[in-house]
Amino acid sequence: MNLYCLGLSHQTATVEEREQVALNPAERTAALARLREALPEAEVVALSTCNRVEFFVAAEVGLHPVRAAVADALRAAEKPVACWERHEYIHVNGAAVHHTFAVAAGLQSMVIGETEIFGQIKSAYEEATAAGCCGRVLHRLFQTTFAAAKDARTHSAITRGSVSVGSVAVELAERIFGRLTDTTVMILGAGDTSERVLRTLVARQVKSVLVSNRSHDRAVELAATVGGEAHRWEDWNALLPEVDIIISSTAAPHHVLARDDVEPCMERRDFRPLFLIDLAVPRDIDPTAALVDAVYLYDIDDLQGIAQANLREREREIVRCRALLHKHEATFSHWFHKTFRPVDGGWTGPEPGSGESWRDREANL
Amino acid sequence: MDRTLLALACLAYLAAAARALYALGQRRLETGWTSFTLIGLAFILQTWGLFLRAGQTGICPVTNLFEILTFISWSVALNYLILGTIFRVSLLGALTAPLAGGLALIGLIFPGLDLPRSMPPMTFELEMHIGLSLIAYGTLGLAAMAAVVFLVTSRMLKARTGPERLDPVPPVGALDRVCWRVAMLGWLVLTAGLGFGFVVPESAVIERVKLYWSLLVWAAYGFIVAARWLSKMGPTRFAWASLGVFVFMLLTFWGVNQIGRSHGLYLP
Repeated sequence: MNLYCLGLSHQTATVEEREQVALNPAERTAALARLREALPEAEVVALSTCNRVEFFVAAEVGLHPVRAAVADALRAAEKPVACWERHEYIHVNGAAVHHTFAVAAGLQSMVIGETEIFGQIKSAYEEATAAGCCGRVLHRLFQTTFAAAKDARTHSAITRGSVSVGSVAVELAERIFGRLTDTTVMILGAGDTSERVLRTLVARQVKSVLVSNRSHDRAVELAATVGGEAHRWEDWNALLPEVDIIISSTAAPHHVLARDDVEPCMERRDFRPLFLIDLAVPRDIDPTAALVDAVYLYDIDDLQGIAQANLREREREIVRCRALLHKHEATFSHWFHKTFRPVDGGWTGPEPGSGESWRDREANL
Repeated sequence: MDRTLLALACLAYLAAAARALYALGQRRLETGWTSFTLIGLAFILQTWGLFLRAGQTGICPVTNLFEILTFISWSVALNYLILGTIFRVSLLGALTAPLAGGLALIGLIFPGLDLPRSMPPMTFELEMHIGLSLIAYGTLGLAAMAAVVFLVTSRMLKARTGPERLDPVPPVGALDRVCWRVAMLGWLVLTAGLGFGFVVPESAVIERVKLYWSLLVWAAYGFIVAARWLSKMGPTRFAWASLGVFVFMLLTFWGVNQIGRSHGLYLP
């Protein structure tokens, strides 16, 4: 019995290439069926996310027929097989287990430590189980994978700290206000980043959203998509005392919110905290507004700086995470060896850095 | 026996404080039952110790600085057990343990503070005056501790450090509300305590310096509480003011008592 993981990811292919080979749910189901046709005794799981397309196969055959079956399944789904083969990586047995655990724990993700991949792998596994494509080996592999990923997440800081501007802003807002369900958010201007930040806040069920833009039509449009109220540009200043969070990203060449605007409004709002998020360059909010009591001002550099620092922190956690995953790899390996015997080049495969790869070994399999 | 009980209470507070500090080091708040149980146990031991003291002298156990410190420590714990439950702010537990433990420890490690003093029998009004005033000082102490946490948290947010560094503390908005509410409660209890002081029968000794000092503290707290209530003072200024008045109180309390006694500055 051998375990294979064949795939391409953001580490080996560009987004244009990944989108060419990405499989939608119907295509994944068809690909699973096609693979089972080609390898009737094999167990198969197909994973397709925006950052990776991978096939996990457990079969009593060598690598060559597995590669051919995957290529055939992709061809049947009208995917560019040449592109796949150009960027494909192959992990076998121990390396496949190591890779699966690392992917599920978020160590191979574009944003290290992100947890979405865990759910995506779970869905892929459930899909394959529903299609009758999983057997003893892959059930065991994925159950161990989920336990290993949970262990790594719980006992390391790999998921700690937000790593995107939007999530940093939300985390800060929660440090200031606690639950956001009683907060009112106002967005000035409507750039891409500000809209993303707004949507992240809206997802936390803020009480209300006010939108103001120089182009009122654009304000109305954005307000409609987030369930907010549009206000004319001339009116936003009067709304300041009601607002708890302001996201500003106008194209104005000067400050649109001065300290003199903020200071008097704080008394009218009983000095409830005011969180100002300035995403504009040049900046929209006078930096000295941060000196006003209970006003917390963050510009785009501050938010990006925090996100990057958190990302560096996560990178430092990788070693600890790998050690945690290693224990589960050993458990799986022990079970696998007790139950099966790898049919091709052994459990561990080529030594990393040896210059040899599974492609080199392919001829012998 | 009474000192043993008070020493055991002190140990329980310090254990709760150590646990809270350890939890803070792990970037979380000590919110579990362990903290509540340790402080509750210390409170029971302290109540028992103070009760035995009161039984010996027949009056409220506030006859020397050791007893006063112990009583304030007891009132800090009482505040936590009541306010912590009402406001559901686990932070109060993390603040209570070191404050109550620290006050009790200071009283215990200086034997000179626990010299027996003969006091005339106390009237009900005088006992209420002393008891409520000391409870108020405990509450205001807790408000000052909350103010310190607010100032540190607000400073970190203003300095744009990452939010994960603020993991163990509640949101800054909630801290501001706790600071104000606890200080307000402390001031109301102080008002009641001083109110009883004004109806103390004439036979009781009223120290003039202490009276002026108490009125000064009461007015200072009254001013900042009112200013915050009327939104004339922001949370940072309020926190600094609350902390400042409490530190002033701590630094002058002993001196005022000494001046009052040694110079006989009594009201005519």
